[in-house]
Amino acid sequence: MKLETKKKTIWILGGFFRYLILVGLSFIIIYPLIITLLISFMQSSDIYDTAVRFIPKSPTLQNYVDASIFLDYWKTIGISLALNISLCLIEMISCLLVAYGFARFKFPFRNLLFGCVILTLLVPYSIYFAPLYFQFQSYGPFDWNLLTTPLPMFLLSATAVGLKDGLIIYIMRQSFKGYPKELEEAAAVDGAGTFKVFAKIMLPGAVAVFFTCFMFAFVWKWTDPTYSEIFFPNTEFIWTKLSTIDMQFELTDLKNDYYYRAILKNTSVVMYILPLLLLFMFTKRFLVESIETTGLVG
Amino acid sequence: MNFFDFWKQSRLVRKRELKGLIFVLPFIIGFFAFIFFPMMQSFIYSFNDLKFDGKVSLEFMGIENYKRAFTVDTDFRKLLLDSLSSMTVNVPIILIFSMLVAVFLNGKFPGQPVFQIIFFIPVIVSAGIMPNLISDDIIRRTIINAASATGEDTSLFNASLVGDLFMRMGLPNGFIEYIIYAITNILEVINSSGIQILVFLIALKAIPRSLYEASQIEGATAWESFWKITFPMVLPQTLVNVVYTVIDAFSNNVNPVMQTITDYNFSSFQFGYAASLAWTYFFIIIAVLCFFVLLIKQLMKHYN
Repeated sequence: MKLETKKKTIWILGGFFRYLILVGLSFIIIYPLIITLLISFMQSSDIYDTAVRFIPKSPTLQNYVDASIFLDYWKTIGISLALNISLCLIEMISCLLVAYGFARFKFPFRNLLFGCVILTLLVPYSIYFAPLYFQFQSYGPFDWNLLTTPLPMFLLSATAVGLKDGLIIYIMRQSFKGYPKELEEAAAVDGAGTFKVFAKIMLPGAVAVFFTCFMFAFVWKWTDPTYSEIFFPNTEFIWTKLSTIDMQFELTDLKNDYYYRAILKNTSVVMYILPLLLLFMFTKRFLVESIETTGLVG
Repeated sequence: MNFFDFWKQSRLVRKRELKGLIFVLPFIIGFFAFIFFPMMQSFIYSFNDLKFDGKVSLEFMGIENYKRAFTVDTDFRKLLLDSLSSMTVNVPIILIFSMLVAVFLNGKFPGQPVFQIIFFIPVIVSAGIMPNLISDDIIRRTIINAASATGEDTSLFNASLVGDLFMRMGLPNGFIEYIIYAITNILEVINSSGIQILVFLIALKAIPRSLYEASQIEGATAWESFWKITFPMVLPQTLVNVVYTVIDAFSNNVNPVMQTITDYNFSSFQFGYAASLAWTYFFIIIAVLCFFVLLIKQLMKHYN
């Protein structure tokens, strides 16, 4: 009986400790986001007002209107979304095919080739970006300059060697490996061809992994502007606008209004991560599902 | 089995092999055209002085670029060393932290789904340019200044308290400094642990409950069953996480070494020199990876 109560105390204490840690860490994660969000509704007067710390006295949406002018929001976000979504879709298709090939087939040099997938992850892109840049500058026998078109980025995505695609192939391969072999064999006996098996049996089971990887790919592209800076320069994306927003302030009469500049910058950050948060809201149930059911990684 | 059957079967096998290759074909093309070939080019560049005016022209100069990187360019050496030392310090912290969080997140308890989602937020918003944008924010500084003027404690954690406690416990100084470093950099640690937590969490969910129940019947404490069951079971994922953490830290776009190399390439157009730096960096990454992988492999051997 005594042992029972001791066990119970330990259990309760452990539960308390778990919540303490989790709530504390969650706070650290959410805090900067909340602050940014709150600042985006402030007016300059709120910052001079010492009574206002976090909650603005008279919340305003004017910041969003102003920031969208500086960011040229509707245009830049439209271009960024269009390019990113189409790139990610193409990338998902090519990665699904490649991952399926690695997971369910035996062929010569398979392990060596998969080693190459891992190699694409290990090699820092600074090694091959410059030669690749020259290559796209004068491409093929007719010396086409592809850098004025988004074609280089589409080529990289379509051949599954875009940003961190090795990781996506790895994750998808892991999930394809989990299917029972009988499923394929049964379908083959019924006379379904390989590609039919892939489309009718494997793909429906890969929906959760598909959306999870789509989200990963989208987020990585959205937050790493290097690719678009080098392979599709002179185009204004939301991230290029955001990183040069200080220079644009210098050109206006906001030049010396540092507080208002900071408010606008915070507002711009909110507008920039908004698509990411929306995408996350949409894909999070797939993420949870792929955690619960398949071995997403490992 | 007669010859005809064998021939028929091997034809089927070969057909299937071919189908597999067709599936992988996009990657084979992409790898050779956009990774391997440029890599070889870059290797050649690293021994040359490269001029670019519409066409690439090379002037062979032997190991001159590498000599410059190691003997003349003190800035690069310093960056490299900084990057290496922060790596050796950070990798263990990130691994231990993400393992700890995964253990806490695992299991069924009220609010678990909410926490799971919160801990994924860093993967979404904290990558790339986000931290840079809000790090030097005048309003945040004003808020902090206003608070410290009234004598409030504004740090998220008061690490000196922990340090004091450990000091009284008589723990070695180096250890205490390490813990304090981890606590004061908690935001960075969380931001770079998102994927790792996920990987550990999936591994933990895959461990059969019966193992824990059996060990409980034998009278093992939670602490013992962690080291006897949980830890050995997630060692393979630890390997995956080590590799991921090292690559992520070395090659993210805010890494100072990466930025320097990109600057040499696309700002000052010293392509040959940049190539030699990139290759040096690549070999160092491989060396660090080998070190950590061998370490984990040793641990795995120990447990088998």
